[in-house]
Amino acid sequence: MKVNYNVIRGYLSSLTEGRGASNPDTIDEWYTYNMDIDAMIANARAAGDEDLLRLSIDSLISSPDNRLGRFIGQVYAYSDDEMQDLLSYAFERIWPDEVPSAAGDGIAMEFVAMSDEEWAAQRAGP
Amino acid sequence: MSDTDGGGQAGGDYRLVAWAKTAFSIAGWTISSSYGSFFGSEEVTPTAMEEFQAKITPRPEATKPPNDSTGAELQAIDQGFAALTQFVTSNIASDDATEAETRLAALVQLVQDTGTAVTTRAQVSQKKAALSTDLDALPFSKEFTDEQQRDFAKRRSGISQAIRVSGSLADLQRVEAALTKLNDSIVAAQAMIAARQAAIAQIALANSKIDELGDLVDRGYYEVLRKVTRDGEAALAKAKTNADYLAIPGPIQLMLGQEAAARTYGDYFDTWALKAEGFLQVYAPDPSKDARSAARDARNAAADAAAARAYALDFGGAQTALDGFWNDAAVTAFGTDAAESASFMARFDTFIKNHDQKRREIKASGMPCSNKMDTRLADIRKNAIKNKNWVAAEADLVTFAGHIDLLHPISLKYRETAQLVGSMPATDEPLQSMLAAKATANGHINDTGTAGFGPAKAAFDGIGPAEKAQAQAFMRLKKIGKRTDAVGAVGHNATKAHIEGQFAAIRGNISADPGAADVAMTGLETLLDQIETWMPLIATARTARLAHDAGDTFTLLAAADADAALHRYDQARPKVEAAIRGYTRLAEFFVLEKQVTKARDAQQAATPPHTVLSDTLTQAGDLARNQGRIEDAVNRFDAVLKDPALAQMVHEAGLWIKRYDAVKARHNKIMPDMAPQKAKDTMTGLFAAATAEGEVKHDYPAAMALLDAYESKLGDARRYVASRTRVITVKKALDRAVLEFAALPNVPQDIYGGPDDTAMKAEIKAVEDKAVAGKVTDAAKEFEDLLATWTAKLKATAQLHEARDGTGSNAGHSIDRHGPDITDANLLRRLNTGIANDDKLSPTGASSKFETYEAWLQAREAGAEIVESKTHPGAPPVAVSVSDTSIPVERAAVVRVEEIIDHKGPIDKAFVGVKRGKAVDAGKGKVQNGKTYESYDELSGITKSKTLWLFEIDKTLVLPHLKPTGPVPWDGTAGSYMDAYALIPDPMPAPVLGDPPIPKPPLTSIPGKWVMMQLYPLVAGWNQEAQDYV
Repeated sequence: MKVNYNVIRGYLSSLTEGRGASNPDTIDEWYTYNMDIDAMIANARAAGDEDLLRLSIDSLISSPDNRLGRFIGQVYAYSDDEMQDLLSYAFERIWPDEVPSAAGDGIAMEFVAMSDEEWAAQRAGP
Repeated sequence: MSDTDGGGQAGGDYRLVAWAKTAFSIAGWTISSSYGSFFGSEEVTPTAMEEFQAKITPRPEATKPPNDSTGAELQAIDQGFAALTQFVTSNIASDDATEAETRLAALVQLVQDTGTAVTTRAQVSQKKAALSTDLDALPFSKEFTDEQQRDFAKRRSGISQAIRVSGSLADLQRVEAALTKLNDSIVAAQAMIAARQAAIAQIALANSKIDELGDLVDRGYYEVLRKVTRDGEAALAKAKTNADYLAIPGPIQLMLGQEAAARTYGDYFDTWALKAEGFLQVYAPDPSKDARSAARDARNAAADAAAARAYALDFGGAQTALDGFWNDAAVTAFGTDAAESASFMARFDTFIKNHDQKRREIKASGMPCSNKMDTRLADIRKNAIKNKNWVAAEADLVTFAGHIDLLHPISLKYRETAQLVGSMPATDEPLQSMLAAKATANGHINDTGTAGFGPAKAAFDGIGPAEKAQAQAFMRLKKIGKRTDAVGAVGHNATKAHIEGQFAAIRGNISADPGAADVAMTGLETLLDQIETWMPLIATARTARLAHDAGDTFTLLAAADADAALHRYDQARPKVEAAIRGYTRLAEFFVLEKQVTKARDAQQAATPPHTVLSDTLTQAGDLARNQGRIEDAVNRFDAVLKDPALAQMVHEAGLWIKRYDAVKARHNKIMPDMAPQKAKDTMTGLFAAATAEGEVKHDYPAAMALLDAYESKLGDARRYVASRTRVITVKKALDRAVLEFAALPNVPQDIYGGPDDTAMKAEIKAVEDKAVAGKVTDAAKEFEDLLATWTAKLKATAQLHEARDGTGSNAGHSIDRHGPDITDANLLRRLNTGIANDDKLSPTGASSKFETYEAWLQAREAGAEIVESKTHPGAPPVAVSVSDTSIPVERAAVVRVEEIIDHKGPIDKAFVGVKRGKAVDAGKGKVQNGKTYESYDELSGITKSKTLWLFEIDKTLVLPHLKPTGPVPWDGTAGSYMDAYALIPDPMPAPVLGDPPIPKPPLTSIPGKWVMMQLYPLVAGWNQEAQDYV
C-alpha cells in the first residue's frame, strides 16, 4: 500500500522536531514528548488522518526494516531503537486500547514521496 | 528577285521545285538537273533564300524541341523556328541565305543544348528521388538523446531542403555527402543506445546498492562506491561517443564486484568496534564529552587508516590496520586486561547475534519480566566494565542466554494470548479463560527462571482448543478489521464500508457457527488480497490520470472503476493495468499533439499554408479521441517527426514548449510577491512580449531570444523579491526589538542606528522608488547592499533575542548552532561527532546554517508573526502575543507553534549526512547505526527555514509536584501545570519553618514566556540540482 511519505513525515516531525527533541539531555524521557504527541494527533484528526497515522506508526513499529531513518527529522539523530521506542510510546499514549501488531505483522506500507495533489487524487475514489 | 518578277505560275512552279530539291537534299537524296524539266518546260533558277526555305520546309527534326523539354525551352525553340521562318519569308527573293543559315545553326544548337539539359535534368531528378528515398529510410528512434534527436532533425530538414533546391548533379553530390555523414551519425547513435542503456542500468544498480549497503559495509568502501557512481553519472551527462558510454560501467562493476568482500570486512569491523568500545569504556573513557582519550584517538586513527585501505579495496590491509589498534601504546599500557575485555566483547557480539532478537521479543511481550531484559543485560555489562570482572560477566552472559532460550517460547504464547485478549469482546467466554491463564502464568514468570516456567506454560497450554479457536477467530477478524481500516485510510471508503458491512454477522457467528464465520472470513481475506493487489495499481493509475487527463476526457479508468464499484477487484485489476499503459501513451500523445500544433501554427503563418500538419492533427486527434486508438495516434505523430521536411520545425516547437512552460512556472512563482505594482507591470509586460512572439507570431527562434532575456531579468526579480521581503521583515523585527528591549540602555540608538527609524524608512523608500521606475536589477542590488549595511544592528538585535530566549530555558541556541558565524568545519564537526558549535552534544543528520543575520532575523520575525496570528480558545478567544507573560488557564491554550517559513531566496548552506557511523550501544552492547555521520552531501541555496515556538511555563510554583520529584509528569503543557497546581495544599507551608502558612495563590493565569525553541534552515525535501523543494 502506497502512503504519502511527506504526510507521515509531517505528522511525525511534531515528535522528532518538537519540544522533546529540543533537549538532548532528556532525549529518551518520552513523557517530555507528550505535548508533541498531542499536537501530532490533533493535526492528524483535523485532517481526517487518524487511521492513517495509527496504521503507519503501527507499520513502522512492527516492521522498522531500516525505514525509521527517513523519519528522524533534522533536530536530533535518533537511533533506530530510540525511534521505535518513541513511536511505541506515542502509540500507547494516543491509542491505549489498541494492541500494536507483532513484529512483521503490521500493514505493509510503502512510504512514497508524492505531491498533495497526487495524494488527493489517489484517495479520491470508491 | 521578287515574287512578282517571274510571274505567278512560273514563280509557284519554281518554289515547288525548290521545295522538292531542298526536301530531297535535307533527306540526303540527290536530284538530277534533268528533273527540272519534269516540272516545267522553262528552267527557273530559285533564289538562295528559296532554296533555304525549301530546306526548312517541312520543319526539320533537328529544329524541334526534344521530349521532356520545359515549357520555356519549348517556347524558346518554337519561337526561334518561327522567327527563322519569318525571316526567310521576308527575304525570299534574296540570293543570300547566309544569315538564315546562321540562324538555323543557332537554332539547331539550341535544340541540341536543350536536349543535353533534358538529359541532365532527368539524371538530377533520378538522383533527387534516390536521395529522398535514402533520407526517408534513415533510422528514426526516440531512444536517441534529446540533443541527438534535435541535431538529426535539423540535419534531416537541411538535407531535405537542399535536395529540393539543388539543380545539378554537382550540388547533389554535396548533398549526398551530407546524407552519408548524417547516416553515419545516426548509425553511431544507434550503436550508442545499447551502451548508454547499459551505463544507465549500471548506475541505477550502483545507486540501489548504495542504499542497501549503507548499514552493512564500512565507510571506505561506501565512499569509493559512491564516488565511482557519482563519477559515472557525471560521465553519462557528458558522454558523446560510444566509447564514452562503454567506459562508464567498468569502474562501477569493479566496485560492485567487491561487495561480498566489503560485507565480510563490514562484519569484521563491527566485531572490532564492539571489542574496542568495550575496552575504551573500561580503561580509557573520554575525559569529557568534548575531549578524547589517547586510546580513543588511537581507535579513531586505526579506523581512519582502515577506511583508507578499504577505499583502495584492500580489505586485508584494512583488517591489519584495525588490528594495529591492539598494539598501540595507548592500549598495551593497560596490560592483559585488554585481551580479556576483547574476549568478553566478542562473547557479547555472539550473544547479540544469537539472542538479542529473542530478548527484544521477550521485552515486547509484556510479560512480567519483560522490563528486566534491558536492565539485566546492562547489569552484565556493568559487572564486566565497571568491576572488570570479565570472566564472571561472560559466564553471566551464557546464563542469561539460557534463560532467554527458556523464556522466549513462553513469551510468544504470552504475547499471543495478550493479543487474543485484546481482540475479544469483553463479554465473551474465551476472554475469561485467557485472563485466568494470564493471571496464573504471571505468578510463574520471572527473568531468572526461579519461579518455574512449567506452570506458566501449562496455564497457556490449558486453554481449551475450542476457546483458543474462538479467540483466534476473533483475532483473525481483528486483523481483517485492521486491513480494512488501511483500505479506508487511503481513501477507499466505499470498499471499507462494503467489508465492514459483513463484520457484525461474522462476529455473531464466531461463537454460534464457527464454520460459517470461518468461511465468511476466508471470503473477506480473499477479497482483501484482491483489494490490496488492486490498490497500488489504482493509486498509480489515478496519479497518471491526474497528470495526463485531469478532466478524465478519455475515461480510461471507467471500465475498471465500474468493476471496483461492484467490488470485483480481481476483474478490475487487468483493466487498471491497461489504463496505466494507456495513460503512458496518452502522455506521449499530448506532448506530440502540442508540439505538432505549434509547428502547424508556425507553418500557417507562412505562405502558402501547409496541410500535412493540419491533416496529421485531425487524423491523430480522431484516432485518439473518437476511436480510442492512442497508440496509433502517437504513431501518426511519429511519422511527422520522421518527416525530413518537418522534423526541424516540429523539434523547434517542442523546444519552445518545454522552455516556455519552465519560464512561465518560474514567472508565476515569483510575480505574486513582486511589488510595487509598477515593477510587477514591467516584468509582466516583458513576459507578455515573449509569449506573443512564440504563442501568437510563432516565431520560435525570436521568441526564445526574448525568453532568454526575460529569464535573466527573472533572476533579478527573484533577488529583488527576496531582498525586499527581507528588508521589510527585518525592519519589523527591529521595531519589535525597540519595544521589547526598551528598558536596555542605548535603545533605540543601538537598534535603529539613530534616535528613531526615520533614516531607515528613507533608505527603504529610495530603493523602492528605483523599482517603481522599473530598475528592478538596480533595486535588487541596492536592497542587498542596504541589508549588508544593517548587518551590525541586525546581529546585535538577533543576539538580544537569543539571550532572552535562553534565559530560564534550553531555547536560544539557534545562532550558536545555525548562525552565520559558524564555519564549514563547525558544521561538519556536528555531523561527524554530534558536538554542536555551542559545545553541547546534539547529534543531527543535517547540519545547516543561515548565511546572514538578515536571513536569521527575518525568519525569527516571520515566526513571531505566525505565533501572533493564533488565538487561545475560550469565550471570547484571546489573541496570542510573543510578548505575553502568561496564558489563560485553559488546557487547550496555545503553547506550541511550529511553522515553515519561505524566504523567497537563498538563506543557507548545509551538510547532510548520508551514511551513519557505527556505534556501540552502551546499554545493549551491540554495534548499530550511531548518531554521527561519516559521509555527507553539501547543499546550498536552501530557501526555507523551520521554526518552533513554545510558551515556556514558569513552573517555579508547581515544581515540587512535578516528576521526577513529584507525582505529575512535566511535559510542558498547560494541563500538567494545572494538575501540579491542584496538588498544592491551601494554605501552603511557609518557606521559613515556624512561620504561619500562606494562602495558595489563585490560578487566574499561567505564568511564563514565549521562546523560539528551534529555528533552522530546512533541508528536508531540498533538491540541490533543481535548487528547489520537491
